[in-house]
Amino acid sequence: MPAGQTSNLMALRDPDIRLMLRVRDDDPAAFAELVQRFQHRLLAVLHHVLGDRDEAEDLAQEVFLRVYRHRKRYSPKAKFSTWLFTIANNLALNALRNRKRRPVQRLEISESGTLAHEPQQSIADTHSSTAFPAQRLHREELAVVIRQALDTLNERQRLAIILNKYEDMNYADIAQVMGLTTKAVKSLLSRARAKLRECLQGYIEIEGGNSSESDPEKS
Amino acid sequence: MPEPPQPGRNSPDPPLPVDPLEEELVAYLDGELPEEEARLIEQRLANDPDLRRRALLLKKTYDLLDYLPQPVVSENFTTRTLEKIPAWRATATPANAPEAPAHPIVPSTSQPVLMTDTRSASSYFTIRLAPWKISIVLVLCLICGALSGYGLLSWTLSAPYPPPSASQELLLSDHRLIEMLPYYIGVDDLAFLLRLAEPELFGDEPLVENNPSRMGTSEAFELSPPFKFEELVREFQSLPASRQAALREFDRELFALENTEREYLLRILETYTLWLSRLSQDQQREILSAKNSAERLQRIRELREHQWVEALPPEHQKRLRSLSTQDRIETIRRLKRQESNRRETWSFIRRHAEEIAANRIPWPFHDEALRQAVVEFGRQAFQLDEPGKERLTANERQRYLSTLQAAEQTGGSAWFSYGREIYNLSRKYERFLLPPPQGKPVIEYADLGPSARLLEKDRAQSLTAPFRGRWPEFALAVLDYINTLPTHERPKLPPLGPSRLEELPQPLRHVIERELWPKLRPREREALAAWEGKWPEYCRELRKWAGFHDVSLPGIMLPGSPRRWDALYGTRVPEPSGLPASKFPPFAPLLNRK
Repeated sequence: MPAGQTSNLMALRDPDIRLMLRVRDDDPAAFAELVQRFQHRLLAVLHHVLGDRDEAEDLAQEVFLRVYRHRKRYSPKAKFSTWLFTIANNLALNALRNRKRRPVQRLEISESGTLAHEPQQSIADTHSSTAFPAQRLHREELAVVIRQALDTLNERQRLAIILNKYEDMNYADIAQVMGLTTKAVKSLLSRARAKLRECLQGYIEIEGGNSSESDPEKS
Repeated sequence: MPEPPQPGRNSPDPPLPVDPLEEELVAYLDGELPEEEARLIEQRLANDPDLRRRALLLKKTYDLLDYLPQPVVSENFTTRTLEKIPAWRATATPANAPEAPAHPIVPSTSQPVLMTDTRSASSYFTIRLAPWKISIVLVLCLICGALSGYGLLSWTLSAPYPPPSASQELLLSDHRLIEMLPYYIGVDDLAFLLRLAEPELFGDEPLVENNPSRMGTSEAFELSPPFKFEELVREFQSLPASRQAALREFDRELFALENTEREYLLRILETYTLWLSRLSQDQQREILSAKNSAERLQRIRELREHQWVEALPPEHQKRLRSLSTQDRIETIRRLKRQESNRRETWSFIRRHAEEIAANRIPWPFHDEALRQAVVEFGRQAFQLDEPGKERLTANERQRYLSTLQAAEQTGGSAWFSYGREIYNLSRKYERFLLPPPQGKPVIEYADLGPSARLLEKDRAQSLTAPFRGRWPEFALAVLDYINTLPTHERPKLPPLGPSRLEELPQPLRHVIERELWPKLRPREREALAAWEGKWPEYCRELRKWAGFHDVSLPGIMLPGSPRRWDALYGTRVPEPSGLPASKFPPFAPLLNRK
């Protein structure tokens, strides 16, 4: 199949690509729409990687500006989000490197913000299968613990985990964003997950203590 | 309280030794393993309690990440970002803002969209709507021509005309709205558009169904704007404030939808606009001047039906004319069903043309054990060997058995037909695919305890007696009847069927515990628990989550991966990018699938 046709077909399937092609072609409304469509997702990823909301927002803005500046070079070879997060990845890694040279004080963790999926209530209040054991942490406290657990990961592990978890990206797309092989992503994620398990297993309840069986009725 | 994790961002890259099994396990949990390897892991999980525990811990710790707050961008983020772009500043500053309307605004011109200058409209559509620009421009002109002065568009005239300063201030998001304005011409709101998606209206149109380019060709993507849309801006500004607000709301709702949903609805919108553009002036006026959304839909429905009948072969038309009204309605319904079936069959064949031509045995029939399991499932699910209890109609039974026979005799791609047949039938009779209780099922009045006497007379009996002796038909009929009664008159009944995990038959329970439960997220377990004690809802919820997590529940779902069944044998497959929402009728069968 000729390359042009492939890109057309891909563009037809993916509305994000279609939007980006309009941006490429200088449609002013399209860029506004693109920013609105991706701003929250981009900010979430950058915030989780950098751990600093203001810095993440500045960087998200920079990502969009780069998208705009490079729009004429855009060619729809992959999902648009992969391209967007590749730019974000490069900028985030640069920012982290710069930070190592000029350490900054990290700020918030429990700032107000909507929870990804969970109801707006203290975890301690729930008596359901999601309730936590003796710790009965408040969700803000839990967020601190999770944030700290993410911080135990190295940068690449953290980014891979965040793309996988919050962007629901598959290994192939993560590989593309991070410039790795799929196999490398697989072992990166495996190490990261093992480390998260190590850090967080005290905060979850597996039914029956060390028992190997889980009782669905009680879990 | 466990020790909080110690931050160690700069720890060396492989902080833990690589464990190949762990890698496989994580990839399995992420759905990234090829089928064969996934099966191996599943086998190991089934036999190794320690591994199961590791998997569960991995999953649960990962689920914890859901508790991390998701930040929201600050209020003026978009504007601040856009203002950094010189080109955007040029279009957004007051000096370059769209000019005020050149023509005086009078209330009588407040149609949805008025194109006063066809030349500029034409240039606009060259960019966005190249394949049918003429039609669209035509409809706009026609509508303007036909309706200006008539004052018929009561839906736009209902509100008092606003002071110009209030309605002429454009919001950032209005750019898109104005661009889409010609599409929004005959639409009241999102609910109206959703109704247009019904199969009898525009949901079954090939343009929507086959999902070609939205614009008919890919040309639209290759052309370079910059277009002028001042005329559209002017027209938008000339609308009453109430209509402007309604359009903004509609546009906001439409673009807040998931990509797949929105793209689907945009195709509906295009099909509708194209259809509208091809109507006569009188017909257009009839639709656009309807008093409200319901009346407009009714007029569209009548016109669609009329057009459909007119497009039938002459002999069908002749026959229809000779029928009574009721028979005519029935016949039209039947003919429509046939047409829809043919379209689906054709679409199915087209999707599998290559495999069919190569005479390949499709999944799951290439696997002897799975093939037998599927055939056995069909036998039990449709009660083929139980005279008097068959679920299929005579035609369905005949077609089912003949496709099965053909597949068994000729093999190869003949299994495609059988697969599609059993898939469709299992969908159609899904209501009856419910697990029996561990003890005696409710199949007789005597099983209903003291309430039985209330059900053994008059209307109750006529509605329930035909299903005596059959599970779950009898219990469902009883429930259906009870639900027609006012709440205070409903008799107290014993449990009609299993509605808790421990009440399910053992093989099914086993699969749920081993395969489904570990995949359920905490909130999904909660959602399921909320249905406990309710029959048949609990079982249906179980099936829903099983489908979502790609687990087949024995006896009530086709053996083998539900996702593969949908992908191979489903007739209407949404775009790969997302999960359609419940409000879109054509996707209804796929609602609960990821």
